Amino acid sequence: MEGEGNFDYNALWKRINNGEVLLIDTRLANEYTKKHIPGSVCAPYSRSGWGSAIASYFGNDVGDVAILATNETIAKAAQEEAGKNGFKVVTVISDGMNGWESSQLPTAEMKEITPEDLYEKSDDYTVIDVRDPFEWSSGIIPGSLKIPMEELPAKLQELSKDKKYALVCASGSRSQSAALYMADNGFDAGNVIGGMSRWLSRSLPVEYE
Amino acid sequence: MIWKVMRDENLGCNSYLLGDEVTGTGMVVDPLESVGATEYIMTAQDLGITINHVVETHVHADHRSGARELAKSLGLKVSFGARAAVSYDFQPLSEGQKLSLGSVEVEVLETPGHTPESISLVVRDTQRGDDPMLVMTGDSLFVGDVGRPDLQDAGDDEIIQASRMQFESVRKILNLPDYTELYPAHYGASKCGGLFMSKKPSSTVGYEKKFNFLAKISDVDEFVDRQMKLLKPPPEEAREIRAVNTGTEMEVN
Repeated sequence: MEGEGNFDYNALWKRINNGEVLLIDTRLANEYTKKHIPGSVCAPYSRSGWGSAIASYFGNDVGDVAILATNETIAKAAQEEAGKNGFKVVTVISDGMNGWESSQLPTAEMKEITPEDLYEKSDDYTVIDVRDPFEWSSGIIPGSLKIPMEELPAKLQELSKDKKYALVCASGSRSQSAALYMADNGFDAGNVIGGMSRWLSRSLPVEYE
Repeated sequence: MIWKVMRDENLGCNSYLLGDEVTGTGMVVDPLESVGATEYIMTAQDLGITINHVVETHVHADHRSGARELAKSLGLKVSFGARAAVSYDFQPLSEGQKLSLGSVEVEVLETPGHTPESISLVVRDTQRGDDPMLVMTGDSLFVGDVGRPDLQDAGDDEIIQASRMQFESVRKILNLPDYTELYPAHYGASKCGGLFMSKKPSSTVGYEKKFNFLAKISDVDEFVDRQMKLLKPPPEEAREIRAVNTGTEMEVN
């Protein structure tokens, strides 16, 4: 099993960047969101149908695949499952992010911010509300940029890599994907956990359109 | 909070997987060799938690532990009560120590008697409340029974001493709120208990306080006397199994 010793992370990084290998991260979603390899995809391993799920999502003609897992037990199981479903697994990393981080290669990190924290440190953050326009009538965090989820990719160039962004939606689920997407693109982006429902339940201030 | 009981029904053994799904942190208590490391790791993954602690309530004398194999697979050390006499490197736990699994908090109570290093683990789900929700009692207090004090190859005096400690440990557990759920390491016909061990795998502190034949005895001498009279022959392979579980012997035929 690779991921220990002299594994060549630089070579893998190059191949990921060139689109020559798809890196599937099998760790739990909350581990992935905290820190992951930019460009990798989050597909937490599960014993029930993981292989067929990734096959139907990616198609199994994606070429070379690398697998990242948090320990050897899961690494082995995922490798086998992926193999059974027609994937060509060329690399298996079984020590989570440890080896990668010690190679000093880039990571994408996404912070989690509670609504209470965000309120206290509101001067530090630019809030982006990624909900659909009809949802904004329930109130928005004062000063938020309103960018619906699907418009975010097009608006990225208008955003600054020197700012800290906090992404919010109704419950914290869509904003997690959005924050991850921004983090993958080199932004300092965090997810507001619990979203507007937690913001509102704590009676924090909102403004109406 | 995640709470999953993983049993071996043939052996009458309980092991526990618990954790906090928000932070994804978790713990396994008294893992069983017969369940196997892979099963614990995969079950945790399916439940959305990672195993960060592998804890033994004591050195088991009746079944093979899966703790070392599980800890090794995860790159962790096994945690034991600080007084454990095991030959491998472990993480010592002592009275009052708290292990945090996100919003789930696990507090160590030293409950010697059945063995000197026995601990019980009090669990609080701080997302819901600050009071104890449940306690994992290892072999200190069972449903209907208490752990036997004679599995240490000790002499009569030492067994009596252990029984006195067991009395105090039982009191300590019964000081928890009555509604605290009680999850021992054994149920049914396990050899670590006596005549009264119930086939029911869990109970509450309040129920045991009221109806547990030994635990409800309030006088230490009477408790010791009763426990001595109820002793039964030790399990045949106790010594060998203990040797495997303490790492002083690698294999038993």
